[in-house]
Amino acid sequence: MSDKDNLKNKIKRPTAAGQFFNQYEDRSKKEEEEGANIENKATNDEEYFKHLAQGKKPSKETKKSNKVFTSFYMDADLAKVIENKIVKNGKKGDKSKFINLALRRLLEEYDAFK
Amino acid sequence: MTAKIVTFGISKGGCSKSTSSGITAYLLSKKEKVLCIDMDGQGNLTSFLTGEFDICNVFEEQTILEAIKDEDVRPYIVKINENLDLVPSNDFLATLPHLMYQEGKGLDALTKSLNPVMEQYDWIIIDTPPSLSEQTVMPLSTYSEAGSYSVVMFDGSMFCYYAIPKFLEIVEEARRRYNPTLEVAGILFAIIDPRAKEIQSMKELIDEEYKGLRFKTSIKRKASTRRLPINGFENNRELGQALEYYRLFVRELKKRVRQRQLEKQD
Repeated sequence: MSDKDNLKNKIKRPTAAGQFFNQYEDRSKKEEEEGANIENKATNDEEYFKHLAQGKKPSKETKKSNKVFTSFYMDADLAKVIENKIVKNGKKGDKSKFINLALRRLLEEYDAFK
Repeated sequence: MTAKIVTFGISKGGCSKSTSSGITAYLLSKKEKVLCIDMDGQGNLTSFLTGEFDICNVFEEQTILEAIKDEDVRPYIVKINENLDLVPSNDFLATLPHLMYQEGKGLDALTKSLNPVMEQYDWIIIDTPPSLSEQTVMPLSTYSEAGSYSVVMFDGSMFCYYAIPKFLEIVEEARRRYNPTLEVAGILFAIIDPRAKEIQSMKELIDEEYKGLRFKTSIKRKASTRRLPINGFENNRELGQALEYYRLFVRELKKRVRQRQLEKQD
């Protein structure tokens, strides 16, 4: 925002009605930004694992977010590919990240987050 | 048909918003299909039209709050007479802002709830509380391609005089951000005591500041109108007297709405 716009905003203060509506617009902007961040993270993860699965060295770091421990049975053929590609080429934690990425994509497709 | 929306409002209490919206809906329903929406948690319009005063129990989880949550008013419509329906309200409407935050709803939530019935009515009449809140802002933000209008209530007092520009600011913001069809139908003088000397000065002031907006009809204070919530509309011997000024107002309102629609067509 330019200095001129800043001055104009200081002179002409928003009305209570304007502020009320702004609350909702600020919130929806924030939600959009959060949505975009999740999308970016998923894209980064996808690129990273694509590299691993193709036997290349990883080029990007992603930050760890809150996780909960869980366990489940995996189909043998899936387990084999994950061990041979993701675990072998990647680093600690990549297996979990990969499973998360796959599940997230499927759940998004099912609209489960709505 | 697509419903025309009329929202009665002003950011001051006791200006006859509920009575005026209820009587207007009743008179319009003589010839056309009308849906009334009570957006005031006090539920006075609900009590007025249904004759029911124990609104928290009678309309438990059957109100506009649930209709907004479900984005569909249809399961919550109460039949008042052949042409007049109501979506009631009760004290739990106070939880609406929390619900909206929790469920990530925007100010177009009432539009979404009304969309399934927009073609079933000629008019949707909405009563609002005297506050800058979701309950007031959402009706004004509710879009209809047939037009959306606000009636600004005015009781002739100083407090109300200063509430008018504030209410018009809400109207302006709603029009700019959500509802380009929104227009001020006019300013209605209501529950006016004809003996009050300042009323004529107020009328002149309003005419100077809001040119052409004042309805020619003033709703004068009448005991028979005050007794309407007690006696009801059916088998009420003094009904004609009670509705005297409102008949003139509704005629004027319809004329203004028709004029605006013609202007838009041109």
